[in-house]
Amino acid sequence: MNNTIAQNLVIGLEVSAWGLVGVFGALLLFFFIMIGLDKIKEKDDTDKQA
Amino acid sequence: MIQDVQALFQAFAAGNMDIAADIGISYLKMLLMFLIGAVLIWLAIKKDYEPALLLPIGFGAIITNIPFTSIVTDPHTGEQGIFGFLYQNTITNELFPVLIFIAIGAMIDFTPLFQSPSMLFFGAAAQLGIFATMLVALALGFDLKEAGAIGVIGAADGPTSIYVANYFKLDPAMIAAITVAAYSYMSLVPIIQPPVVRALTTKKERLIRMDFHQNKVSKTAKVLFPILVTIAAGFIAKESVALVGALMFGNLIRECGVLGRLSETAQNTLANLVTLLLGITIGTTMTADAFLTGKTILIMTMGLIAFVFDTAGGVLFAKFLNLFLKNKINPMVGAAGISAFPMSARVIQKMAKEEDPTNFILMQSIAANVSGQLGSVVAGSMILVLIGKAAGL
Repeated sequence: MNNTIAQNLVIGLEVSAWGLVGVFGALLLFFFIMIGLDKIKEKDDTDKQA
Repeated sequence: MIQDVQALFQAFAAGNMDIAADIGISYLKMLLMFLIGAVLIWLAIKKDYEPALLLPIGFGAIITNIPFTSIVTDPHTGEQGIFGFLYQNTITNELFPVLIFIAIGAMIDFTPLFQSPSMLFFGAAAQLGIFATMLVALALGFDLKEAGAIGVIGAADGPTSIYVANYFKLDPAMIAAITVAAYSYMSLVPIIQPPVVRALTTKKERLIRMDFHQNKVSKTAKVLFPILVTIAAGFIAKESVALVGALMFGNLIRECGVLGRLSETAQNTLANLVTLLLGITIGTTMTADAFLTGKTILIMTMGLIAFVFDTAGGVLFAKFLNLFLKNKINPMVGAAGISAFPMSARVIQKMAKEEDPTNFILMQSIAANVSGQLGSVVAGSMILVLIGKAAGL
């Protein structure tokens, strides 16, 4: 696929925009996974608190 | 070599200066590659710059440029040599990068990240360098796949760089240049990052203190995390399953608590064995004709640009967040979001200590640094997906 430099730059900007959205979106999802998992306490921890 | 010397003298005697010049230039290139290999070995031994990779790469670069050697391909019969066999069966099919990811995953402890999950976003912000460098590469005339692979040097993650470059089926010499750039700049993080951080922050910002809560993280959480992350990443980008899956598999082996021997093997034997063979195999692709090109010099330059933009991305993101936060973040922590673990975290803590010996931001830096390892793999996967679609793969 032989594009000009200008055409490639336009594609590159689109890739960059979606790429950053994708990276932030994925890590946001991992953030929620982490927050959710952190609520799981081991049984012995909850027994000690009781 | 004797035939070459004879041919050189015969060419001179016959007044055929073109042939004489060609032979002379090829020997000059050979000597230059010997020098480059020697420099890499010197950097590994004397300066301790990523010796596990740079020494084997340097040695590979030397032996592959010995005239008429058959270690990659026999020049007379065309038969594949041992390093040609290794390259085809371990690099081209992505075996070695994936195995190294298993090893890296077994070395990662996500506990600091669980204790400070907001640091995850610095692992995203510090991947800015990948996309910025990709744009620079495109502006310089590289095609989409080449620019994407060059950009991934900014992942500060050797296996991801090799994986992406191979996925796009780039020329082996370009893959070698990308690999050398990635590992060289990773080892130069203590030199590259501090000036960038100082340029983008004020003294007052560098003195910001941060709280850290050392909560206990349950084993169940640490076991479920790699599984859920792999599934989530796979749904976002199926191309990421190999990389993220291998990384998280290694981490699961570590965290499950019942595979101590396998975890130990992954962290040590597997990591060392693959690293040893990976380095020399990549080095043997650095033939003079393929490596000594303008493209190689551009790639090495853009590697530096990638790391500078990575650092800037993390720092600027922290400063942006500080506009809205009551409990400010020390912007230096953003720079630790690159994947060069644990070097970047140590560099940032050292800088913080230089400003104020009582300021301890190591745990936040480590959390950001660990996040960078996740972020770099995800960013590499994004490049695979998006450039792959754009290039019609």
